[in-house]
Amino acid sequence: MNTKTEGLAEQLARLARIELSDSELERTQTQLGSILNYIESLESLDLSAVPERLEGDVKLAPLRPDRAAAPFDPERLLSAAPDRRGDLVSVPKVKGEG
Amino acid sequence: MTSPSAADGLDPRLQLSLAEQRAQIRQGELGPSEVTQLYLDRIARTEPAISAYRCRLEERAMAHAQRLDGAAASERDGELFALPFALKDNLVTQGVPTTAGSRMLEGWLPPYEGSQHAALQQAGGVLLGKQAMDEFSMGSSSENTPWIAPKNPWDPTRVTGGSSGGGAASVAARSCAFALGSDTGGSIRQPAAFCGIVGLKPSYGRVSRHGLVAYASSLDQVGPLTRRVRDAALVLKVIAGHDPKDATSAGLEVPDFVAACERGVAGRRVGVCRAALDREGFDPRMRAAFLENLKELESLGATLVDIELPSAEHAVAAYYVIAAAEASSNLARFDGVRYGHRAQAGDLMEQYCRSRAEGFGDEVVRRILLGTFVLRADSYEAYYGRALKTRTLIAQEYQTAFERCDVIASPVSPIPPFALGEKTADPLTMYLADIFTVSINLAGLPAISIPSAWVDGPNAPLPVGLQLIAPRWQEEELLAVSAAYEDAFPHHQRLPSLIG
Repeated sequence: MNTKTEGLAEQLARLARIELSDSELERTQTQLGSILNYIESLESLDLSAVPERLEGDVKLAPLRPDRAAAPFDPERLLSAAPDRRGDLVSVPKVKGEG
Repeated sequence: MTSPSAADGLDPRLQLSLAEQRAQIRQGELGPSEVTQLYLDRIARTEPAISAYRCRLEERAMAHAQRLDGAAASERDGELFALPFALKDNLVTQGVPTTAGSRMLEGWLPPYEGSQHAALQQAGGVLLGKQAMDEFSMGSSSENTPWIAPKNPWDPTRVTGGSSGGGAASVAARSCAFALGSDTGGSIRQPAAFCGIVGLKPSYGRVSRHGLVAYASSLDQVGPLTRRVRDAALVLKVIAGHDPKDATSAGLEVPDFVAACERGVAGRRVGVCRAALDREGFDPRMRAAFLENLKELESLGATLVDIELPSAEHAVAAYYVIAAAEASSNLARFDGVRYGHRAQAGDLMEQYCRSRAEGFGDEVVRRILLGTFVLRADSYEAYYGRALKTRTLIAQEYQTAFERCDVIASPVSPIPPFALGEKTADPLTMYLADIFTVSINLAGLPAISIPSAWVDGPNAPLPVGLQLIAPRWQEEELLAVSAAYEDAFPHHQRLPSLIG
């Protein structure tokens, strides 16, 4: 398990865009290791004849009529933005790998 | 049963069913603001001990109730007219803080109304507040919170269960007439069992998810937390049905759930998976209580039938893969840009990473990372694909089992309510406590937890729940059996005696 999870938490944190300290990474690594170990019990099941998806109930979910509806008032949505400039949401400079 | 002590002074009107309270209100014996005040007083008395509410809305509730005082007779027809309720804090309420139990959403005022709150308001209900929960519903004890964890009213040194722990504690403490929770892997049923109340997870698609802050969209379902089975039927009737705002809500007629409560148990076949009772970690006291419950069902005229669910033991593993995968996608929206917590940072990437680190707690981070892992191209097949197939297999096994029975009886939790802090250090142990509930979500089935027994605890007897599971869309079966059981074994009359 150790070889497989070596550096794993750091890689995943980068993919998931979450900054973690070294001690957090270390702890997470150990915990993920034991969780993955447990999840690997699924390998004991013979799933060769089982489809990935259940039959859907699409017929039970009618589509709503394709009609124009009143849009959200932009002000209501913008009021939740942590930072804005006029009618735009403001963010720091985009640089580097971002 | 032990006699209630401190709770002896409880106003008898807090012991009434929703239908009885509503009748008193309609007959003018109990005014809307009077009943709201009754619950606000109860909240003030019990909150210091149980911390069930994340946000209390005293003024708003009283203003609403006073408006209802003056309502015309025609406006008093609502199914839940003037009944004071509370919502899990992941159910969106326009203009009222909705945190989903996370710092990420602290201070957020939703710009729209969720369908559940809209339906309850439409029926005349009065919102008392928003209730404590595990962050983004990820947890089985309501301890995954940046704030204070709710306490079990039967023994405040113990957890409420989770993730809808605040709601379950509050209903048990009579500090709201009913509550709504959400259930992704047991989050309504397990806290209901831990707190000695009724918790119903409807079939996937029975209730709209519009306005439910998403955790795992293919598993999440909103449902009632109530003291009585008939109360759950009434609340479900109000919130069920197709909602054009949720394409996964089914376009099915809503059955008369309240009438279904009168159908009785006699002649019903109750399936039991005996193999599940030998699982490691199943507390012998809980096992004994469950076996006694089976005898009780038989005494009411049910026929017990043995069934097999051979893959159910893999449900926890499949569940944590699927739920984490969906969570990692759903929670990608919290990036500190348009709403929610934003960290100070020099560039956009740093802002994403820091905002998410500051906004999310440990368990949420763990599940996002787990979900990110299982969805990676090189682990998708071995983990996510395998979990999806396991899910299909489990659903097929339930279908086969239901050819032999009308409902399945099962424990809710393998263990009684545990001490606060006891399981927080080891996430996997906490996950394993979900063994009897997660397979139901994977299969999209309806299930209910009803109070069914008591086991000795160090400070006070602790409640035990019985779970009943039905084929999809057959909530009526659950209600029929549960209501008859409750009539014969009225555990709901007992009061928590260790709080105000």
